[in-house]
Amino acid sequence: MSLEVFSDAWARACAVAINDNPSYRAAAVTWEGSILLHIVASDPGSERRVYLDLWRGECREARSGTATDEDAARYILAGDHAAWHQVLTGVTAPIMAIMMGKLRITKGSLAELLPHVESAKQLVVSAASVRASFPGVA
Amino acid sequence: MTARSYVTTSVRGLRHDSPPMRLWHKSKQLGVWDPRAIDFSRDREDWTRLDAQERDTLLRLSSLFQAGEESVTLDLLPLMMVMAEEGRLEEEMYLAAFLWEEAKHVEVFRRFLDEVADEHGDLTRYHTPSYQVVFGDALPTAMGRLRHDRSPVAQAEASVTYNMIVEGVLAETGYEGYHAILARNGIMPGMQTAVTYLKRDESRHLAYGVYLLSRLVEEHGDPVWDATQQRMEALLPPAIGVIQEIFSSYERMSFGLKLEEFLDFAMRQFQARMTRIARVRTEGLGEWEAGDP
Repeated sequence: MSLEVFSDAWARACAVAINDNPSYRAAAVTWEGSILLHIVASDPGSERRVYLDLWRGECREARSGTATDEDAARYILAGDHAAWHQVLTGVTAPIMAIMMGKLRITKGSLAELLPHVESAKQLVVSAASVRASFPGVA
Repeated sequence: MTARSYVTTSVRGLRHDSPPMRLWHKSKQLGVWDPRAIDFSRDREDWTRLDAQERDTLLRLSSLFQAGEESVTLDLLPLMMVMAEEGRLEEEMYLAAFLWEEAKHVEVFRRFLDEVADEHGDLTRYHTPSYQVVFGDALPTAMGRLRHDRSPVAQAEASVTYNMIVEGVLAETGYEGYHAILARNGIMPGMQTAVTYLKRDESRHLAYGVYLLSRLVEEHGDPVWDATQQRMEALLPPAIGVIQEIFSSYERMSFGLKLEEFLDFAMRQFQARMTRIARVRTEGLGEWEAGDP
């Protein structure tokens, strides 16, 4: 059964996959801080957020988020459904999506994120291992 | 003995409207400047008035540019040989101008070091770990591979490394910042002139790189596009690392330089070029045949 991306169940399944990924653990030993992933949509009802509390190679919490999580998140990455689909299916690497402007860093900076490119990649590898459905993406 | 065929004595002739020939014609007009003709006398006076950290910042940047220009001069030849062996006369002609321009860039930075900074020592202390990864390893390896592997994927990986990363993310961003330092502070008019020429030359080199990658993607499709993306993904972190390591060398940057400003510029330029290459996948090379360069 596939889970809808950015749903609470999908976020929790991602946390399990992240914590089961030794490559993520190794790559993310210096990562400290929470990240909010945000699907931006013209219709506010289609917007989605996922909040991930990541600490030195471990995902301590993952859940669907709301706009109120923006204050607590150290970084926010935002993009439309198509951009997230490309990233979460491994078509486009996170760094390429950011450099191409498909994903935008709306909180935090590229300079802060760059040393963590490999952990971002492994994070996506973990998330991509969760069978997911992408509503609204052809 | 088989008779050799010549494009220039055939009905084909030279394709003056092709992108590399348009760049060749521009190079003959805009690339003709003499590093020796630049007057550095005011620059020397300005240099002596800078404080120690300002001098160190300019020396660091100049040393990175100097070694970078030397690298791109030494490493370009295998790409020219590929074009020659594939019979792409127009591309080889433009690459000859390209190489000549890179050699002038080497000369102008050495003039700056000798005559303005009066620096004759070893500057490798400025070549930080990320710089070594890009210029000491990735660039010569990707370009040197073309001597024995002329596959489209090898050509694309070489062009990404040389044009998109070294010239695009690093040189163009670096020259933009370097020129801004000098212009905002009203110093070193000779070097301002030199960097204006450099930026103009580099913009043609980059246009060629974007054309080459576009042509390779159009001709060979997904394998080249995938290799292009993967190579960029692999080299963006050390390339941005070069910029970060410049900034992390000082507690407080001289000349009001801001890391974010550099990164934003690099991202904007990178994005525009990638968008243009990606467009070839759906629209073909039509835009190149019709318009600039």
